[in-house]
Amino acid sequence: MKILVLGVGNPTLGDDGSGLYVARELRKKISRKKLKIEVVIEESSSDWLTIAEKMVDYDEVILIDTAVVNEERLVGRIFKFDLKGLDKRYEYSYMLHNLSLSSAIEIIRSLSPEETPEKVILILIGIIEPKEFSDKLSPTIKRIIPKVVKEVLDEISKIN
Amino acid sequence: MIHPGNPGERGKVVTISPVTRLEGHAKVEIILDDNGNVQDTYLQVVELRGFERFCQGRPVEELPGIMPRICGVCPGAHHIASAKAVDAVFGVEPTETAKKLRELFYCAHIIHSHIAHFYLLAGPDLLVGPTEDPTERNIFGVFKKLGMEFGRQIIANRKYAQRVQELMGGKATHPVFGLPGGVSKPLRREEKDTIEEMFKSMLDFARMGLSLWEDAILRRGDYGDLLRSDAYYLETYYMGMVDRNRKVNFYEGEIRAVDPRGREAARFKPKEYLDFIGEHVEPWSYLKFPFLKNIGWRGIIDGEGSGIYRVNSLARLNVSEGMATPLAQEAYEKMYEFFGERPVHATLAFHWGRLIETLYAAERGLELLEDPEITGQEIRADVARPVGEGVGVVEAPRGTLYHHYKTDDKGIVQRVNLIVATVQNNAAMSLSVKKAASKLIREWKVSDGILNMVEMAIRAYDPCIGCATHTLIGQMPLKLNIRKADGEIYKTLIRP
Repeated sequence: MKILVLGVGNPTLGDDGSGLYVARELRKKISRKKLKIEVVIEESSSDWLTIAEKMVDYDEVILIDTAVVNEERLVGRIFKFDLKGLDKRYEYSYMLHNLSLSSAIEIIRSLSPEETPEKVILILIGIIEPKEFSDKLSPTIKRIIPKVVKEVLDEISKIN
Repeated sequence: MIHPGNPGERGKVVTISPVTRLEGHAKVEIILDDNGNVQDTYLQVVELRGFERFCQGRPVEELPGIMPRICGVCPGAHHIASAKAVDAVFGVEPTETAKKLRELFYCAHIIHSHIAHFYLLAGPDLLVGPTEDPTERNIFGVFKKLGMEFGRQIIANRKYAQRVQELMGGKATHPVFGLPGGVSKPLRREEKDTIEEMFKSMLDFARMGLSLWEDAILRRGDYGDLLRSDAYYLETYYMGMVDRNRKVNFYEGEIRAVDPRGREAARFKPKEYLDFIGEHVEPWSYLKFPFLKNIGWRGIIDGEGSGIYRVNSLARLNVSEGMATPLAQEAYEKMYEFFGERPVHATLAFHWGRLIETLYAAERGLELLEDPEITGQEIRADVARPVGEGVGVVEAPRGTLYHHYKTDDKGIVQRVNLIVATVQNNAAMSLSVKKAASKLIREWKVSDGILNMVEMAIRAYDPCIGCATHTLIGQMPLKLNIRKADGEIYKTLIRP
């Protein structure tokens, strides 16, 4: 069993880079754990197609990104989805340079059905849309990172 | 970053939600007169400013690592332009091996970008059909048309181009490769062999692309008409980088501009760009409108009297006197023979140009790999104290890209100026929208197919609004409003 944990974001766009921070923290924790399964942790700031290409040959993927919520009460909230469970209309909004994550995975799956993982879990952190460039996280999101790390570790434990 | 869903249908606003294939966030306003014909059009872009400010106060050698963050799609272009600007800030000339390694990396970057644009973004229009049902007019429609094996070749060769950048640069998306005076690591012999195999595959694939262009586009009379159509025709100036023999070069050379008749209008060294490029501002757009200073700004109009110029693939071919590799040269000649004019003014020919350039990049990559110096160990020149200012220019897949840095005597960044390709095509894109809309929208008849054909005029430039606005934002929709003369919305199309 081979799992890919992928932190996604732009490190120069404040809270948008949260997924990368989670991946870095996870790397430290995972290296101290004895696991039966193989867990690979990667970071990416690329387009969804490039990200989907990375998923090939893994049994399962856990992807950590941010979701723009623009409501204070939802900032820092952790949302978890199985990509298969999202409805079509919502799916179209998963945009990075205009190709949705679902579409990108479907492209790869249509060409390599056997090698593309069935299960892709999205773990999203609610943020306010960044309006300026920064290489720092906001205090609220910084506090939330350990919780997201725990969420991912729990997910890995379920598989392990 | 993920954004909430679309608003759906409400009131008079009709929302159509298939995914568009444009990189960025743009708004097109088309105003119809009382007879339902096009009166005027505007292309607007929402901008998030401040990236230049974010760079101030940092050691300049950090910028090649930071600049690629502007864009997840063309990081290689920003990385290499930035490395060249930093060379200039330190007054250092990279070693010959380092230059060749950078160019090899860059050939892979061009191939990666051009494959993605041609097959994934333009392919649905050109290979499936511009007015086909939107549920078919997408990459899956392209696979259906070309067959799944061809589809696998698209993805595999794009991945090879990405893998070459990873092998050479540590990371493909945000490489740690270019350093002041050179690159971070030499090319090992076994890496060279792996990369060579990948370039051979990319060369074969580039040839397949041009055969496909001939079979699927040129041999179809209606598509030939579309290529030559007045809806996609603009007589502008063109700008791009050429080598000392006036052949297309992505990495190094002088900048050349030609007028709509093909006569040289300007030729300058990259560091002289401010003497030749002016930037006009319009109150209705956040993006500036660069123009040729020696011709001047005459408004958003084409023709010899207007300083509007175009960059990107077709522009590079138009300003050059050919390609420096044999197969690409053959393909170049075929294109000019088809149109029977030089420069070619057909906006849709930017796609053809991309296929020719993909072939050139693959051939050039193999040439570089045959050079014994490519595995040399002299990968960095000695770096002295900064001289305080430097300009780095490359031909990004989307057109000429300028990075200009000023530092203090310790090399701390004081000012940054970037001119990206999409901004340079801003005026031409606005004009192209107007031309296409005016020719295609008649007497209130606005179908999805027609609107897609208007979008095709923008898509031909392969715009990257993320680059133009210096940000990488999650959702960057295209909003197309069609208004009556009194301003009331007649139709809206949102392409998330």
